Order: sequence, then C-alpha cells, then structure tokens
Amino acid sequence: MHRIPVFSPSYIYSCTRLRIRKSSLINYQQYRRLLNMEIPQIIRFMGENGYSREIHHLHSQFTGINLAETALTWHLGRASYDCMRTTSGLLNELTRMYLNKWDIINVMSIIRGKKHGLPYNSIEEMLIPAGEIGLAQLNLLLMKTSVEQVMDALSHWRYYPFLQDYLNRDSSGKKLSDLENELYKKFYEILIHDLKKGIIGANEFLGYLRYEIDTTNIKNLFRIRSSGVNTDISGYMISGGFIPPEEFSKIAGIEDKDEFITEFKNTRLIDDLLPVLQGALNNPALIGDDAALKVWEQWQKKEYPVQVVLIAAIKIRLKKLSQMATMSPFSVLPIISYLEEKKYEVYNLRAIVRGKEYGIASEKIFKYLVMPSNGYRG
Amino acid sequence: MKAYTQVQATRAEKLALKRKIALSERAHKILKLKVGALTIELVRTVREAKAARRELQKLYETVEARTALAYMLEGTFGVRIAAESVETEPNIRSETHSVMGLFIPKLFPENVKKPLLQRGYGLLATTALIDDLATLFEDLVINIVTCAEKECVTRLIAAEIEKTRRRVNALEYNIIPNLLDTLAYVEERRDEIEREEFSRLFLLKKKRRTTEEEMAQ
Repeated sequence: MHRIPVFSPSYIYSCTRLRIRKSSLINYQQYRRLLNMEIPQIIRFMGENGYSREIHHLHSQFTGINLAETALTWHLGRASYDCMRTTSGLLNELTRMYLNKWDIINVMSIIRGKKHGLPYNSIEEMLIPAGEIGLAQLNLLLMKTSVEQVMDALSHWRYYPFLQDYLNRDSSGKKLSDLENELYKKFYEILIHDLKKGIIGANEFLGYLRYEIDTTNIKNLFRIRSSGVNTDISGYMISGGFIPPEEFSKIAGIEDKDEFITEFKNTRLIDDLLPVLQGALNNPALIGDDAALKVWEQWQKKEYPVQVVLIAAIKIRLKKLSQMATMSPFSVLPIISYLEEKKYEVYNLRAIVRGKEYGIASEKIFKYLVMPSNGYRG
Repeated sequence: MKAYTQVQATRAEKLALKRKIALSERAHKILKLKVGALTIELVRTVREAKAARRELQKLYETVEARTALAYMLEGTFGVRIAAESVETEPNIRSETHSVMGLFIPKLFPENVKKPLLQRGYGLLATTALIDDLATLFEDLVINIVTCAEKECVTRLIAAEIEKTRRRVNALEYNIIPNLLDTLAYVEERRDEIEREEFSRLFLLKKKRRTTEEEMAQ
C-alpha cells in the first residue's frame, strides 16, 4: 500500500498559486497572434494580459519600444517579488537564493557603472530588480559614489566575502570579469549546498541544476574554442554539474577526430546534446554517432553553435523542468519552473517588440522564441 | 601697367632675368612631374578608399543586423552591461610619412581587437551573441579608422594637386611669359640704347669733324 505523503500547507498554498500563475502565461496561439501585431497593439495586449500595472504606471514616462521594454523589466521584478512573498520557510529561502542570479547581475552593473563613473540614470537603466535585493536597496547602492562604498553597503549580502576578497587583491589581479565569473560559480556552489537541507523536490531540482551547469559549460567550451584563445579553461567552467570541469579541460585540448568523438561519447555530453540536435535539426532519427560527428565538425571549424541550437537546448531544459514540476507538484520545482518560464515569456515579448522595431520578418522572430510549441508546459 | 616696364634695362638685369627664367622653367617641369605623380597616387588612394568604404558599408550592415538580434535576444540591459564592461580604452596612434613632399597620416588602432577573455565582461554572465557583436564592433572600429585614413589621404592629395596645379598654371601662363616679355623688353631697350648711343656718337663725331674743318678753313 502506498503511503500518501503529507505536505506542509505552505507548500500546497505556494505551489498551487504559482501553478495557476504559470497556466496564465502567454501560450503558443497568443504568441502567433502577437507576431502579426504592430508595437502599439502588442503594448495594448500586454496591458490587457498581466502587464497592466507596469504599462499604466510607465506610460506617462515612456512610449513605444522603451515603454514595452521597461514594463517587461519591471514586470519580471514584480513576478520575482510575488514569488518571494508567496513562499515561506525553506521554500522562500531557496527561491531567494535562486533569484540571487539577478542580484549578481545588478551588483556587477552598479560596480561597473561606479568604476567607469557613469551617471545615476545610465546605471539605473541597466538594472533588473528581480532578485533578493529590492529596488529601494538598489537605489541606495546607486547613491554611493565609489566601488568601495557600494561593496561596503552590501556587507549583509550572501556574497559579500567574495567582494571583500576582490577589494583586498592588488591592482594587477583586480578584474571585474573575474569577480563576476567567481560570483556565478559561488552562486551554483551555494545553491547546490543548500539544496541538501531537506527541501521537497531537492533531488530533482539538483538534477535540473546539474544539467543547466553542464549546458552552460558546453556553451562556454565552444565559445572559448571559437574565439581562438589557447588558455586553461578550468577557471571558466562551473563545478557541480554531472560532468566534472576536468573532463571539459581534457576535451578542450583535443584536435584529433577519433579521439574527440571517443572522449565526447564517454562523457554524458552526448546524452545532453542528442535531443537538442534532434530538435534543432528537426530530425528525430538522429543517433549518437551522427550527433558526435556534427559536434566534431563544428569543433574542427572552431564555430559556435547557431542560435537555433541554443534555443532548442533552452526548450529542452524548460521541458525537463516542467515535467519534473508535474511529477513533484508540491516542491520547489513548480516555483523554479514558473520563474524560468516567466523569464522566457519576458524574453519572448522583448524579442517580438525589438524584432518588430528593427523590421525583422515575423517568421524569423518566431525562430528565436522559446515558446511552448510542443506543449512542454506541465 | 606691365611688370617689365619697371625694370632697368641693364646687363645685370638681363642676366638676372635669364637666371629667373631658367629657374622658373625648371620649377615648372618639376611641379608638373609632381602633379603627375600625385595624380597616380590619388587614383590608387581613391581606389583603396572606395574599396575600404564598400567594405565598411557591408560590415556596417552586418553589424546592424547583429545588433538588432542582440537587442532582441539580450535586451537593452544585456547589450549595455557588456558594452560598459570594457576596461581598456581603445586608442589610435598616428604617424606621418612623406609622399612627394606631402606629409600624409598613417593611423594605427590600438587596444581595439581584444581576445575574448580580456574584453572585460564575465564569460559566465554573457552569451556568444555578445561575443559575436563585440568582434563585429571591433572590426567595425578598425574599418572606420582605415576608411578615415584613406579618405583623409585622398583629400590631402587632392588638395595638394590643386595647389600644385595652380602653381604650375601660374608659372606656365603668368610668371614665365612675363619674365620672357621682360627679357624681350630689356633686350629691345638695350638695343635701342645701343642704337641711340651709336647715332649719338656718330652725330658727335660728325659735329666734331665739321667743327675741325671750319677751324681749318
């Protein structure tokens, strides 16, 4: 006899609310309709479909594309804030930690802006208040006049020790790009560590996170290769994925076809890439050997995978996440799934509006959208 | 009033004029050669400038399309964050070299093309689209500098040709004919003076002879 698991009411409340929100995200048919609209019509659509608060608030300050983009950014911030408000306890802590990604982006933008002496407004335009650090706190950071002051004001932040470490370095080692890479690596490290605290759905989420790390590492491996830089890549690989960074370092130095294909097939990389290539090439019959050969061709030419392949990878990642969220309805997964899909809804709307502004054909814009065409939304 | 009427019809003046004419004719010949050489240089530079401009136009169109794609997929903040991350400022070093006595600039863009890991933005926070855009913009800046150099050289050579041609024309149609006229005037005047002197001496001689004959009678 199966035991019926007992869930905390807070889990049920939060997950149900977010599942409802997820079901109200823009669907495939709506995207198709949006592709045939002009910018003012899209803004009106946004105003009638969840973005009304931002559109009404901003329409006196912005018009056209700027109104749409600013509203999208603000909306993403509100969606994240609502998620944090809806959840409680460990679920809330994990949601906040997951949203720290935005904090890293915002803090790095402010630090860079202060370092280059950019005016307040210019830095403000680069911020997306969708993280744990709210808009009011970001505004306080913007008031600071130097990088040191900004970093000191973040003394309560989870990543402050790494900022302090950066400040203590001598000027030759003070590269903001290194600090940014380090913060990202720590983000995954801390998140993976905290997932082991006993939260429901942690194992599944860990699997998703590892997959995300692997795909990020593959992308960066190809990026470094296509740039023609001969360097030790281990510093740019995130640890914590299914494939250890050493495997990537090993692949990075291979120039022989057979060796590359053998090594590539020995790792889990082929399992991750096969469905991506099947989707991107629209060929479900593609097998592992063909996929490895295709990857080798790109590797040999020092080319970066085309955008369509990357979008196929994101779709598969979201589909996996959505399936896991369906399997564990009262866990952290529905929250992460909602946040990720919300993020891509915002990205899609921005792509449509920007594409329309630049006069790009609807069919071309369509190719770049991460939309639930295969019904992956669980 | 013509210039030659002001000169004195002396032998020294005649010799000076002859020297001036020889110098002017030599200068005219050299300047004409300079115009020819600069014209050949101009044709070559114009061809290069045209090719550079065509390449720039083509690259600009690619950059525009890629910028649109980057704004579409990365958003304004994504593109701006990467743009504001650049830590080493690009610089342009200039040198000059002489072509037929004309100093023309040579521009060298420095710190424009950077390897991926030295661009200033974090690898883990950006995408390959940003790399692509950064590479294209680096190429665009280099092409703009090359194009500016070629166009500047073309303008300088064209201006120099115009100036030299004006000098050649001035020598050919004004200075040398004037000098020749002046020389002719001086020679004419000197002939006249010689004739006058001859007839004066003849008359004086005649008068003296008449006086001597009268005194003898």
